[in-house]
Amino acid sequence: MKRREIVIILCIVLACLAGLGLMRWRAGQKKTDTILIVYHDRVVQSFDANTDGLYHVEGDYGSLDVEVKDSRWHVINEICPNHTCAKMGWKTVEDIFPIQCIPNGITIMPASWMEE
Amino acid sequence: MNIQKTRHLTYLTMLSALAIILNIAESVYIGQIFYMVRLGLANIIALMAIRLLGKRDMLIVNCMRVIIGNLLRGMIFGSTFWISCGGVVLSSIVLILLDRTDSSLMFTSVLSAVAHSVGQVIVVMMFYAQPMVVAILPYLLLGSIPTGILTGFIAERVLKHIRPLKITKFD
Repeated sequence: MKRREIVIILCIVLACLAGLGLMRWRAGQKKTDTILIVYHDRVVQSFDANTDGLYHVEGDYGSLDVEVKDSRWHVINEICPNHTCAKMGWKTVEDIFPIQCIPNGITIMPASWMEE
Repeated sequence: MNIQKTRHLTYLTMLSALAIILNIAESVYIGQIFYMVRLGLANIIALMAIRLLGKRDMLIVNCMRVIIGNLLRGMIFGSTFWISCGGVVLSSIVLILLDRTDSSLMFTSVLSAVAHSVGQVIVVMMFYAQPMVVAILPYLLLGSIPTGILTGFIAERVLKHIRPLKITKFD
């Protein structure tokens, strides 16, 4: 690889790291315990991250359940071809990535993200 | 001329078959190496196709891999198919643009992998109305760089052992 090419790749890496850092900083600043279940661009349910529970949501492809336990939440019983949302595992308010189920059109994320 | 045509067609079908096999094998046996990041082994074949056969044939190989690969996995016209299409379209554009320059294969591979991730995110944002997926983009791009280097490295090594076609009329 040429020097110019290495510089371009390093710029991409730095931009990504800056983006991740900014997201983490924003997540830390606007911490909220209210978590939203969004179907496309519509909030269909919300829950408190500190209250244990099980929430059922219908999506485009099938349905899924969101289990909340010990201030963490994850997706279970998902009816979708990819199962990526379940593989994303447990999330907390500290996390910077939302849980997304693309075939069902469902996103699970903190309420502060929606405001932004 | 007929022999050259046959050789060209043989290269094209072999590369298409390899791309489809790698695409399916990766999704079945390897899958996501770490939270949504995949190796993108089929990109090796796209890089080889553009160097050996040219732009038009690279597009054919990429189309074959997405259409037949998804068809064989039973995911044709599902969300995975359209997201793959988004990634392949953008990565093919980058491959065509960089083919005009004197960029190294490794760099071409990295930018193509980056473009693939961007294309996928654009499709999810625009057509699946999930704008929050943009939060995953920096992470996906960071994953694209080592996987792009790996695929570029493999393509470079493999191309050293393949005799290039002499004709370029089909390009």
